[in-house]
Amino acid sequence: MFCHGVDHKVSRRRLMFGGGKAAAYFALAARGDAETTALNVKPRNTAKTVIFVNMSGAPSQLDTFDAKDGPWNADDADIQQLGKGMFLSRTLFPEFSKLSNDLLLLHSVQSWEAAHERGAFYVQTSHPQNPAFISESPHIGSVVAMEKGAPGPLPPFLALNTSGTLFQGSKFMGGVNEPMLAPASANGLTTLEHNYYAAASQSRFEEKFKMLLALDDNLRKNPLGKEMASHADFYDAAKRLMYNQTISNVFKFSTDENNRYGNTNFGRACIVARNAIKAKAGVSFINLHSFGWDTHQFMYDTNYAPNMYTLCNDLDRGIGNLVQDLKASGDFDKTLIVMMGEFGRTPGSLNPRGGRDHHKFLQAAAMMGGGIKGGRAIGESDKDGAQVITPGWSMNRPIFMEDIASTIYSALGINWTKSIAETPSGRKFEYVPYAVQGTYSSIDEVFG
Amino acid sequence: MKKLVLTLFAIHGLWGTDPHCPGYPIPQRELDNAVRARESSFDIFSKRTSKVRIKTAIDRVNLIDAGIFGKMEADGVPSAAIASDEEFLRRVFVDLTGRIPTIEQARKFLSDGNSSKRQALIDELMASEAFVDQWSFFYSNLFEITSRYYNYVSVQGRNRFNQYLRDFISKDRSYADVAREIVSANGDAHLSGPPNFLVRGFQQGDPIQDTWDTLTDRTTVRFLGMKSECISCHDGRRHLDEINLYLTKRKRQEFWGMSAFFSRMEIQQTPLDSYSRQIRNVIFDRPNGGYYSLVNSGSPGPRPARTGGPYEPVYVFNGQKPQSNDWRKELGKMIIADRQFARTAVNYIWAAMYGQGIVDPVDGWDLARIDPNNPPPAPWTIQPSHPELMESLADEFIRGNYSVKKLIRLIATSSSYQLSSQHPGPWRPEYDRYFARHYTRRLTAEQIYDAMSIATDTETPMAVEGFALPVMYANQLPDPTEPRNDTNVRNFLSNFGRGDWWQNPRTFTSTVLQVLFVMNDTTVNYRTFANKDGGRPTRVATLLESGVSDRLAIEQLFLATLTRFPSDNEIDSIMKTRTGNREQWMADVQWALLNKLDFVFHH
Repeated sequence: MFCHGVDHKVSRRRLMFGGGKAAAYFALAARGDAETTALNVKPRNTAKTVIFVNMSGAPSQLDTFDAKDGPWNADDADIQQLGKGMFLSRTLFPEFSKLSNDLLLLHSVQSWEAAHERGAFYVQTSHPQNPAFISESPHIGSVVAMEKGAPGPLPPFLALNTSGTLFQGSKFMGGVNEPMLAPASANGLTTLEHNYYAAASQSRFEEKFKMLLALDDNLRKNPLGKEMASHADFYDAAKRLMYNQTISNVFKFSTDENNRYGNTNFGRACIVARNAIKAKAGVSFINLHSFGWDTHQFMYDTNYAPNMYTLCNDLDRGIGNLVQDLKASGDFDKTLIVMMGEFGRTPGSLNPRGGRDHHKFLQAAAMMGGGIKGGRAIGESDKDGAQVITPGWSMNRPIFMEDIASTIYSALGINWTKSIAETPSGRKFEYVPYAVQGTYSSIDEVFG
Repeated sequence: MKKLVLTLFAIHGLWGTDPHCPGYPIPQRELDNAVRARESSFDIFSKRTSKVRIKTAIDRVNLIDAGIFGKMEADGVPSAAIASDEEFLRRVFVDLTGRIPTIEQARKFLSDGNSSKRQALIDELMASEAFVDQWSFFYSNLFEITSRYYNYVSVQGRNRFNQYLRDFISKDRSYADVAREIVSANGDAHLSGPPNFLVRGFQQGDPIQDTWDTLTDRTTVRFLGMKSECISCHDGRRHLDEINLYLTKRKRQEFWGMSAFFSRMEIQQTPLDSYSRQIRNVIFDRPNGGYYSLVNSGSPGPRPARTGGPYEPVYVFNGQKPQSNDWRKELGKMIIADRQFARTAVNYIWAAMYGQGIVDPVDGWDLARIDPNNPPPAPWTIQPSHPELMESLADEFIRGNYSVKKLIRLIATSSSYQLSSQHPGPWRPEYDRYFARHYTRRLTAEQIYDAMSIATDTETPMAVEGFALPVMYANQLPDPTEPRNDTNVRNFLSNFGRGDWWQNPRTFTSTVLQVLFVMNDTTVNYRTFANKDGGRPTRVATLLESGVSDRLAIEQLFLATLTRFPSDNEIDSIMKTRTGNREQWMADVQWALLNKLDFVFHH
């Protein structure tokens, strides 16, 4: 079945910027090849892997990456200028403060959403959460996986510390582009081997597996339906991952490392991300969830959890150490790190409950590595952190998730204006909605 | 032809502004139409002229068989044979109780020589506590009252709702009463079950209209088999033209008329702790008011601006208006008086038992395409695969005072439900919709988990928040957040696609992590060894202890795990591939059986 509806949300998004380039686009459409036509853009291809840090709950711009003088700051904030237009609290971000040459802050980011569920979907897909298309809007990581392929042995898309959250998978793009929701714990990924029989583990497994194959021979040859056939295929895929030191090491780490990264779920996810990159095991997109940024109340109350001290320090320690380790292994320059949430929080002073509420007209994001030129901020917000006053980039308007997604694709060498015509509904899936019309674009200014 | 081309150009113009379907070029469109034609191949196949009537020798037990085999015979579709006792046994246990039979239950049934033993087993299972577990679980999945939804549905409220559903099944209450009570519920959601359905629709931070609209969609999906959320944002025309003929003609204003039934509802919220982490929700109705379009411009919500109003309630399906001021109560009455309510209830249960609905997907009913005497214009086809049967089942359901138990019994006792999942062939894809063989699908997450503990005799208690006693089976868990203190079980269940009753729907797709989990997870493997610690020996431990012969041991492992005896070939394979001592190879057999395709699948 097709769905030829107009999504109003999308339409409004498009209309807001005017349809300058739309005419050219519809000229293409009339030729009949718009289904597969992309613009001739030049992806920068500066990174091999992207680490997307999903700051779930929507972090406050003023209390993270867009710090400025104001009565809302805690007495111990210790805000330092680190570069042009670039301020950071040394108390909240001690490690990031040492990375001033690498860190790039985006101060002119705006969101289309102000509710978590819709916002989470938006940040994960760069598409609006239209109920009709949820099943046809894959995660950005799945699009990356599909584009970059699966050289293996690990799946191309890893999602760490997603535990229990709303997470969009590959949808119609299928199994190999599905995120591997792997655990990041001291035990590692325990299902990569039989954890019995000590040294005989692998040979015992092989014996059992042989018996299984012999017993299932008939059903493998004559499966009762498609679903059974596809399940049968996964036994071989699973076996390829097993008893492979390179793979199992990705999920392991020492107690010392765990402590260095902060001994938090987020820190552990950072270690596994680092391992996956160092192992060069075929991973091109890693999603890391950092939780608790929905600080409606008591955000500077150290007796209340979560508060800004723990939230920022945990993020700072995890990513700070990750960057340090990737620099040491020489992978930092080929790893793009993006940190952001689904929208911003209310500007100026804190609300009567000592927190900040949802605000979509301004948020802040940070980038590092993978071709990013750090030590500065792009764009400028007003003194209360309420809205953008200087966009600071070529489109001369606020930056949206669509632009950030385009930038991620660009950094990975992917043409962000592409689309896929063969979806289950027959409706085209655009990597980035409206990018082919030039409405959204890669933020070239972030690169060196 | 000229008219067609003009129409296509007109449509082209309308769609041209939507980049998701940019100016839809005519050749592409024709190609896609061809694809659609293939999709409706069932219709084409059943209307083909070269049909040869065939006769099936299968007993027609009740009206279901008349409908199913009648159509198969008329359309020349060969049927699978009746399932063997073993196949039937496993299927009916899984469908009626969510679990595979124990080895004792299996032996008892298979050795019974009585010709009416299938009927007797169905009666026995339907009277069991496990039946209440499974079918209250089925309805829990339909209503999705989960306490993960922020702090609005409390753990206590969730448990109340769960108990409410258990009462409904165990007392065989009328489903119409349940629907009425849920839609018109009032009072404290901590203290009674039904109000939690309304709390679940609450849209935090959005205008109150979005709560009403969400509840309207949740209500039409569950009780009328129809997603109506599309028309909660826009008219059907130019949006649903190729999706749903009935909804294409509906306007957003008509949706507001439905939504207006909820527009006097208030949810009074009182924080129960200083940080608002627990909230008491009390549902009540204001005596007046209607559906208005004004919203706070600072947070307009996810839907496009509303206009006009206030709107009074009108039941869109027949134009009825409420006779009293209690609008939700009136809505409840109108829903249960609507024949579509009975059809929907029947179709959900049918899909659960047969693996696919007579209308499929089950929440995609198109009311303009259900009457064969009033067929829709081409290229639309009649939507139900068996429209007449659907109507007789709806009649039967209404006559039986909306007893889901009677309906389940009617299905379980029919020959068509008892068909084998193996078809003599040659198989054609169109045969699926004839129900010509039993549909095979992966067991649900909960079913695999429970089957695994029953097979290996290792049922383990799971604590549930707010329950006095732990539960032993996954289909007794009241929502997907449980068991909260057992990460391993939760990992197992989410690996197998249990979903969260919120953003992530239940899935049946296979993944590499699922296979890795069953092959290697230590707690799964532990169940396959000859373990005795914890006081209770595993199946393999008991077998070793009992000193039975190799052949008999293999037989028992098969019966306990796959609900069938091994073939000679299978015994040979094991004898040839087994290694190590008795304890070792027996554990290996148990391991192989848990990983076998016919264990993981429901057939």
